[in-house]
Amino acid sequence: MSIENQSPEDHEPAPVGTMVLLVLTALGMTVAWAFLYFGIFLPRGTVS
Amino acid sequence: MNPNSWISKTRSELGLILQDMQIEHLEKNWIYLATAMIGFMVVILSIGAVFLHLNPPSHWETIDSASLHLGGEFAEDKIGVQPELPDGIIQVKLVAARYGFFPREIVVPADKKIQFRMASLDVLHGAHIPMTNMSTMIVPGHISEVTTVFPKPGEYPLLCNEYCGMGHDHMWSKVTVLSQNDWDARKNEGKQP
Repeated sequence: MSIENQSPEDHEPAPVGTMVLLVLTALGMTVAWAFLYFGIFLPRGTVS
Repeated sequence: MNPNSWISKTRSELGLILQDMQIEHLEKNWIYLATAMIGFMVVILSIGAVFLHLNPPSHWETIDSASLHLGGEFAEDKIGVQPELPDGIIQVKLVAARYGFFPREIVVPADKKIQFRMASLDVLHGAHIPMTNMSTMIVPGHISEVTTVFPKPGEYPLLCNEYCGMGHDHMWSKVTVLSQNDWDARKNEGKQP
């Protein structure tokens, strides 16, 4: 069934494993950004 | 609101489009997560900008580059590290020219606000001190002003990171950052500006 013909009720929920990977990826990227900002950029001296 | 106005028509068309769109669960969840990530970063940066004054340097001041050496703030006998200002800021005046930053060596203390005021004698230059956040362009006809703090004592190169000619890759000077004790000792020896 093509996506154009599907109704919202026809959608299956995403597999749990995929959701876990999604959340881990997002968390990982956020933590990496926070590390670069707070751990490397700010300790090198504030700039204005 | 007039239902026949273009605003009303646009809003109703958008509503119908969104209603018809059937976004996959995974795609929807990823949109939410990505938006949350961006929102988090924007909030952190905004808090830093508004409350801690952490913002990219923004300064607009003009000067006649062709006559820098003749007098004024960047005359040859006035450049370099200046005496500490009443508010505790130490000003450093530099002239960037092909191919060096003048004076060639400067000594500043760690953990104190250092305000770099730089002007170009000729063409576009960049000033960058690696392993710190001091990095800016020096545009002819303008004064670049960056205020920063060096937390770690040591010797750093001051590099030009904007192509300025054949000798660009040799254009660098030295910045020595002293600990507070060494800075005070230097002051007592009478070497301070």
